[in-house]
Amino acid sequence: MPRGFFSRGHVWPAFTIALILAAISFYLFLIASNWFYLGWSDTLYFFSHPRMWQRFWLTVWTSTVSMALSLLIGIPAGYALSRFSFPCRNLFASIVDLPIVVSPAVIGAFLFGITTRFPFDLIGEHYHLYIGRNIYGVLLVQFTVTCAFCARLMKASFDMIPERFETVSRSLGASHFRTFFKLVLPMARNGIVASAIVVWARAAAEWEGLMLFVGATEGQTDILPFAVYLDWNGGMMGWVSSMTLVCVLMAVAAMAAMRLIGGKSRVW
Amino acid sequence: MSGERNPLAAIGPAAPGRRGAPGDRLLFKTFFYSFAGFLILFSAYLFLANLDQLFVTEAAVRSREPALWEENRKVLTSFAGGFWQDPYFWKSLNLTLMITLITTLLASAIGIPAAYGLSRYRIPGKAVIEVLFSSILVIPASSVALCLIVMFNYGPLWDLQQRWGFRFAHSLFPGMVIASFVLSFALGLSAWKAAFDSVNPRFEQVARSLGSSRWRAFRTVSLPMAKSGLAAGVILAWTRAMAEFSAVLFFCGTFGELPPERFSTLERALRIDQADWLSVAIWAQIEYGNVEYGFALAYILVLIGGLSVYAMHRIGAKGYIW
Amino acid sequence: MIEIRNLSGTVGEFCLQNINLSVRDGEYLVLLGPTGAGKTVLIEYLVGIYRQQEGAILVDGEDVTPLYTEERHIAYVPQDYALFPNLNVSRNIAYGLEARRFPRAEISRITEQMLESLGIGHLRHRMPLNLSGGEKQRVALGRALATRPRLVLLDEPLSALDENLRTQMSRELRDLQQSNRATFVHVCHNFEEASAVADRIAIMDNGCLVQVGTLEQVKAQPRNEFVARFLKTQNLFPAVADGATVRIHGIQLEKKSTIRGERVMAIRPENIRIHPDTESGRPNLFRGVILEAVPRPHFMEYIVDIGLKLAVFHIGERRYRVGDSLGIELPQEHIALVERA
Repeated sequence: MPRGFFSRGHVWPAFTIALILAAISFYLFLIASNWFYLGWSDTLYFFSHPRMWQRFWLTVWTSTVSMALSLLIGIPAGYALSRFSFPCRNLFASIVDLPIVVSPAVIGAFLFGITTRFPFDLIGEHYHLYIGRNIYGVLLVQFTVTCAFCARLMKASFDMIPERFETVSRSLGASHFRTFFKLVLPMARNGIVASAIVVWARAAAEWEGLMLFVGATEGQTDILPFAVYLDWNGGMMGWVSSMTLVCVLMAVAAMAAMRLIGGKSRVW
Repeated sequence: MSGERNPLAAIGPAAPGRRGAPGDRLLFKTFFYSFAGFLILFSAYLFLANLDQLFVTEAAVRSREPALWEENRKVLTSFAGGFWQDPYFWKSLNLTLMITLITTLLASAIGIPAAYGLSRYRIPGKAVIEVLFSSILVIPASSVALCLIVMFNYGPLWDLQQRWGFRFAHSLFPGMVIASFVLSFALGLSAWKAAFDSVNPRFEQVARSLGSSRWRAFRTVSLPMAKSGLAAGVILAWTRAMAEFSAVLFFCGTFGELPPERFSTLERALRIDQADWLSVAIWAQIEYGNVEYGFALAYILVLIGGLSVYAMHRIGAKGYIW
Repeated sequence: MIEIRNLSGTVGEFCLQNINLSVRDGEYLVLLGPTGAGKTVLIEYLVGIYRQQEGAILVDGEDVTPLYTEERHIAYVPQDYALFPNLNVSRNIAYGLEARRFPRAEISRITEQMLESLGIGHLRHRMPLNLSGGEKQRVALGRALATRPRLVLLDEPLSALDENLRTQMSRELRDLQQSNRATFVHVCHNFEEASAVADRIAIMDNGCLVQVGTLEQVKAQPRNEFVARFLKTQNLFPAVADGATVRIHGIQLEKKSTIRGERVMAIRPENIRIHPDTESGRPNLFRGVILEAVPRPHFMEYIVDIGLKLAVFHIGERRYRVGDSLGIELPQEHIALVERA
């Protein structure tokens, strides 16, 4: 017997798929709109300008440095969060998550509030290292946000490895450290690489903190997402659109790479 | 005896010193705890050390006064800027809660069925869809916001608005909802999809073999089974909407300084006129010089964010983080 | 009456080829086969989770292939029972009735009746999460039977239970099927389990239906070496038949049949007779020495060498020891000549 597409059984699937299509077309239109606005020739013009690439490389190296710092702290911290049990787990986990879930403007304000105090004033005095309206400020903002983020991602990667393997390894006489470095880390390698990519992309996307805490110095602190804001305020719509295009491409490339490695950016 | 031919006999018993060394476990735990501890302390320090910014010092008042260039605006020199006395604060809170509520409802209404479809049905190009939605979460918020501006203020959508005589951007109602919806929906979708992924499709197959239609099987089986994950996704979407900053700043701007005539009677009746999105208000107040006021607002956002993330941990949510 | 005609299809790595099977009303059919034979795929085709690429599934003469799962009226009990964790026991049983829009009074009457007949009335307000394996299974059966489906499909229903419960539940399954006059198709990979419940057995291997028949039929005349092996026929030897006799290595057996040529000789260990005295001059009587004697719960298992190493199950008072010399009779009617696998 013939059945139409909208017969009883199909209404619900058709409805859900229609919503998916609507959402996808909205988001695709959203991220492609800049290119429609710019067109080929303008895109080529702005992309061939050294000002763009200077900012691009600034973004790449700052986010790479903050990714490296975050991994250094995040991997062991993620392992501790994943394996050890301690009282008030949920409370501590929420504290770790706070820098990620509150508005990034708040982070900027709070960093602005603490850089004149205890650890930072000592660093400034002894090492003549000023953390504030310079590149170190950029790194601090990126690090603050990505460090917690990285620990959460690492916790998720380590959670996927059953604890059984560690028990077996220790029952065979390997020490805790040996088990971690020779067994757990290699097993989690894919997850760590995938997470590192997400962390990098997240670091390259951070800018709200810079607005309150670092401020603009042409060629020094204007990483791409911040430069989008600065040039938008300056009314340079062409620059803004082309830089947005670069940011979008960076994010999509990072996420595609992460997916190719087989990672998930799922955390909870 | 055969023991002599046993290849293991040549190795002998395990060296006693290498196993069960009491220091090893302690050192190991201390090592890893110290990193986790650093993270927790750093975060706690960041949020607690700023508490004294709420108090006004004499020096700050004196240094601020000459910087004032507008006479009709009074300097807020009480504790935390006296934010509870200021209608601007209450209106902003009102506005933000109202808009985030609408956003969350809208995102759930669209996102939960869409997530169900993504999780259950075979859709071509699912990998591309997943890359798209996960990259939305790592595209810089300023770029997303700018995409919104370009999308609505140029091209066909702008022509449409011209013809109908109304504007998406720089408006309270559709503008702020759109701005906070974009990232909130993408994040919620991933959490809802994860919630449905964790429900075995077998339950629905059984329900359907007993005579349920697809919609009924979804409503009576999958939906209640995924309940806690879905609730966590709603909280996540709401928290993300509350934390939105760039999109609202770019797409809607500030409304606090606009004259009252710019607002409709409905907006005035709802008491959301001359108010700002909370996180934008923080930035605006600190830039203006009302540091205590700004920090008080920031602490309110931290409190809301902390409570909702604690709720998510209690529920045991699954999903992405941004 | 369920009829499967020329059904073929592929799901993932599983592939079904040209399945023809009919299930009579009120019958208990067991679908037997090793892991990966495609039993579960066949079940999934019947339920309507997937559509077969070719062939038809006829229920009472109507082709149900284009129908959705919910329209086929075929109840499905998966391996893990899939009890809805958000509903209590009686709501689980009533689920199908509610979905099929039975009147409310009818729903509560049938649910009560089902709870009563399954002996789980005291569980009615419990949630499925804290039920034992046997209780879960009873609820799942009640849920499937409540709507009086045309067919009940059970996917490995006993494999999640422990050994003792398994025998008890298999008896209950059988009783339930009889008292409800329902049609059951039960999938399993265990011959003992199948023999406890089945009216008929359908044996599958590698996506094909190899043999269908009653337990006695398939035991007496397995279609091929695979079936014989799967039904625990331990004594299998390559043999050459010429119509009157069968030759295995150096041994010649009398066996009248129409089969000629190379085959596999199969005889079940419980059909081999032991004679303490070897002088009776019967056909197919050989002298053998016991190589091994293994006590089993209800019988003795001997490995006897008569030029072939045979496994023999012996029930009886008399015990033999390793090294004893005995007369071993291979009755002609129990010798089966089967195709090589």
